[in-house]
Amino acid sequence: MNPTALAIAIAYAAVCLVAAVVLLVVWRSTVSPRPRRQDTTDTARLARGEKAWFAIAVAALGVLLLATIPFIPYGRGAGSPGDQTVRVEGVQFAWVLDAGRLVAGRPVTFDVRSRDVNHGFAVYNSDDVMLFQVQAIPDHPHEVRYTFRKPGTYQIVCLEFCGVNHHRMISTFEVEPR
Amino acid sequence: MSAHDFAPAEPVADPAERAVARRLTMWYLVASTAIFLVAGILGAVLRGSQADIYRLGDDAWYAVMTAHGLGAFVGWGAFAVMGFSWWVMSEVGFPMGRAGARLAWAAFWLMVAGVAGVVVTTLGFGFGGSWVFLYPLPFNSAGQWGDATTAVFSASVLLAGLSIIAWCLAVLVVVTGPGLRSRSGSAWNRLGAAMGFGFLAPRRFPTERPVPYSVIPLTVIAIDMIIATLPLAVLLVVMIVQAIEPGVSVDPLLAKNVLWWFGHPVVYLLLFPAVAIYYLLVPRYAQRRLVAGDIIAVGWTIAVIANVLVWAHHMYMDYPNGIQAAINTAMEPMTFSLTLVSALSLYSLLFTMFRSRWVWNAATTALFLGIVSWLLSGLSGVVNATISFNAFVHNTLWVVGHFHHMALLNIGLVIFAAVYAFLPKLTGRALYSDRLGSWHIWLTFWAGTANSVIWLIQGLDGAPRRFAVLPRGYDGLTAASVPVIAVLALAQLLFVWNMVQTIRGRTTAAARREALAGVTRPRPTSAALQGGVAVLTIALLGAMGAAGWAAGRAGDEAPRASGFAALAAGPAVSEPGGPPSPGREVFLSAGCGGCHTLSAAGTTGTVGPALDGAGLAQPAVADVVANGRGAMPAFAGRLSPAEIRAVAAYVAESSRP
Repeated sequence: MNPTALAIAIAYAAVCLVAAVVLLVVWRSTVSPRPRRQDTTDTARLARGEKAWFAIAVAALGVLLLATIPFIPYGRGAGSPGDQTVRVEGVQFAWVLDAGRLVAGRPVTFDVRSRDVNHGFAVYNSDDVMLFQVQAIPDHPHEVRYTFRKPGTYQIVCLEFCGVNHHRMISTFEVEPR
Repeated sequence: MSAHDFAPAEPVADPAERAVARRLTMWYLVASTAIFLVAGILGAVLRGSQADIYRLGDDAWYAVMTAHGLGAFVGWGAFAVMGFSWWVMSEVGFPMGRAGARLAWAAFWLMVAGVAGVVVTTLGFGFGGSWVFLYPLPFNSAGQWGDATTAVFSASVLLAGLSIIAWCLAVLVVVTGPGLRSRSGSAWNRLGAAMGFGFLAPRRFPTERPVPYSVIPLTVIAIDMIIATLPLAVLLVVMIVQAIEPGVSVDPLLAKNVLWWFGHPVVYLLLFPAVAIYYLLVPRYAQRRLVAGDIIAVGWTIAVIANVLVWAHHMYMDYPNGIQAAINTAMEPMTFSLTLVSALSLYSLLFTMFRSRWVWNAATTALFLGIVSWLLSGLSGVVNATISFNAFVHNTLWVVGHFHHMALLNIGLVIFAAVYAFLPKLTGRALYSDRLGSWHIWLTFWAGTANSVIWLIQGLDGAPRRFAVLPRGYDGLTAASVPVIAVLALAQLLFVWNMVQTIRGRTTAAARREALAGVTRPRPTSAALQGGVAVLTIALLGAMGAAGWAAGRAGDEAPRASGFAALAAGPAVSEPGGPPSPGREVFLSAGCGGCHTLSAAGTTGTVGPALDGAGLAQPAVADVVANGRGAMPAFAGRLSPAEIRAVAAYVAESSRP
C-alpha cells in the first residue's frame, strides 16, 4: 500500500471510531431510563451550541487544509524538472512510450498526452503500489515529474475509463541503476 | 416572531390538495422502486463477474456498468427523493397548485422516458461509455456501438436532465406559492424567504410563520440544479448533432468541466431532498422541535453558492494548464465550506435525537442509521476533497466505496425511512410489518457498510475502478464481497414484500392479534433485539467474509507482483488457445490482443483489424510492429528487435488463411 494511502486508512479509521462513539452515546441516550429532555429549555441552549460547533468545524477543516496544501502535486508542489524526459501517449488501448534510458535517483519529466479519449496515466511499481497519477486528455498535454528511488520495472495502468479494453491498457518500462 | 416560538407546522387541511401530492408521490415511488430493483441486480451481476463466479464479456460488463450507474443514481436515488419532495412539502403545508402539479407530472414522464432510453441503448445496443460518458469516448467506442446509439443515449440523458429542470421549476413554484404565507408580493423576496433568509432578517423577509426547515434544502437544490443542468443540456445537444454531423466537436477539457459542473450538484439532488426528509421526520419522532439555530440559514446560503462552485474537485488530477490548476486548488477550500452544511445538519439532527423520547421502529431505525452513514461517508468524502489525498484514491475503488456508502446507505436509508413512515398515510393502510422493516434496515445497513468498506480498502490498495477484470491480487476481497452482496440483495426482497403487502392492504398476524386484543403492541425493536441482530449480523458477515477471503486466497497462486501485467494479455490467460511459443508470449504480454483478434492466441480485440486469415508476411508485420501504422503505436522502443522478429513470425504463421 502506498504510504499516503496507509496514512489515510489509519486516519479514517481513527475518526470513524470517534464518530462511532458519539453515535452510540446518542443511541443509548434514547433508550436510557433517565428523564427525557423537554422542549422548552434546552432546544434553545443546544441551538446556541450549534454556533460553537460551526466554529469547531471551520477550525478543523482549516487545519486540514493548511496541513495538506503543501503536498498538492502541482503548482509549487510539482517537483523540480530533470534532464530525463519521457513522452507518453495514451491510445485505445496502449501506452506509447518515447523513453530513452531512465536512471533512478534523478527526476523524470513525463509529457503525458492522449491521441483519442480521456485516459488516466498512473504509475505503479512492480509490487502493484501506486506511485502517482495524472489524467491524459486529448489536445491538453500534462507534465508530471517524479524521481524513481529504486531501479526496476514499473507499470503504467490506465485509471480513466476509456472503453472496452480499458482494463488491459497496461504497459511497463524499466528504470536502471544510476 | 422569532425562530424559536412556533409550533410544528400543521398541514394544509385541503383533502383535494393532499390527494394531488399523494398520487404524485405514489407514482414516483412505484417507478423508482422498480428501477431500484433492476439497477441493484445489475450491480450484483457486475461484482459477481469481477469475482469470477461467471465472466461477462468485457463489452457486456461495461454496458451493464453504464446502465447500473445511471439507473441506480438517477433512476432510483434522485427519482425517489424527487417524488418524496411532493409529500414533504404537502406535510409542511405547501399545496402543489395547478402549475406545480403539471410540472411534477412532466418531470415524472420525462424521467421514465429517459431511463427507458438509457436501458435500451446500454443493455440493448451495447452503449458502454460509463454513466459519466466522458467526451469524446461516446464517439470512440472501439467498434462497440455506433454514433446513432450515442445520439439516442445522449437524447435519453437529456430527457432525464429536462425532468430534473421540470422538477426544479415545480419546487420553486410550490415553495414560493401560498404555502409560504409570505406578506411580500415580490417573487425574489419570496424566494429569499423560502431559502430561510427570514431567520436572519425577519423584517426583510416577512412570513406569517417561520419557513419550515424542510423547505430550505429543497429551494436551494431547485435553484442550483437549474444552473447546473442547462450547460449539460447544451453539451448533450451538441453530442446529438455530432452524431449526425461528425465535423462538429467540443474541446474535451471544456466538456469535462461541463460534465462535472452538472455532476457535482446532481449528487446533492439526492442529498438535499433527503435532508428535507430528515428535517421533517427526525423532530416528529423525537417529539421535539428541530435543534437548529439561525446559523442553519447561513449554512444553506453557503450551500447554494458553494454547490455550483466545487465541480473541479472531480478533476483534481487534470491540470494541463495554470488556469485549471488554479481552479482545482481554489475548489478545495470551497468543497470544505460545503461540508459545513452537512456538519451543521448532523449537529441539528443528532442533538434533536439526543435524550429525546425517540420512538424506535423501522422508519426511525432507518433515519438513525442513515445519519450514521451520512457521518461516516462524509468523512471519506473529506479525503476525496483533499487534493494531496485524492492523488492516491482518484479513480480507485475507494471512490466507489465512498459514494455507495453515501448513496445507498445515507440516501437509500432515508428513502426506506420515508417509505416506512409515509406509506401508511399515502395508502391509507397500516404498514404490513414493522418488524420485517427493521430486519430490512439492519441487514441493509450492515451488509451495505461491509460492501463499501471492502471497496475502500481495495481502493487504498490501488485497485482501479471501472475494471471489468481486476488484477488477481484483489481477488480475496472481491470474493469476500459476494456473500455480503447476497445478504444485501435478499434484504431488499423483505422491503419489496413489505411494500407490496401494505399496498394490498394485508396485515400480519401480529397486527391482527393486537387489534383484537385492543392493547398497544409491544415495542417491536427493543434495544436488546437490535443489539442482538447487530452482533449476529456482524458475526455472520465476518464469517462469510473470512470464508470468501480464504477461498479467494486459496485460488490465488499467481504471484501478486504481475497483477496488472497479467491483465494486458486479455482472455488468453484463462483460455490458452495454442502451443506456447516465444512469439505468442510477446503477442500476449505486449497487449497486442487488446486490439487485435487472433484466435490462435485466444484474443478478441476489435480496435485494430482482425488478424485471423489476414495472410500477412513476416517482414511486413515486423515493419508495422516496429514503426506503427495509423492508430497503432510503434513498438520499436518497447520490444527488442528479437522480440519483434518473434512476434512477427508468430503473427505471420497464425494468420495464414
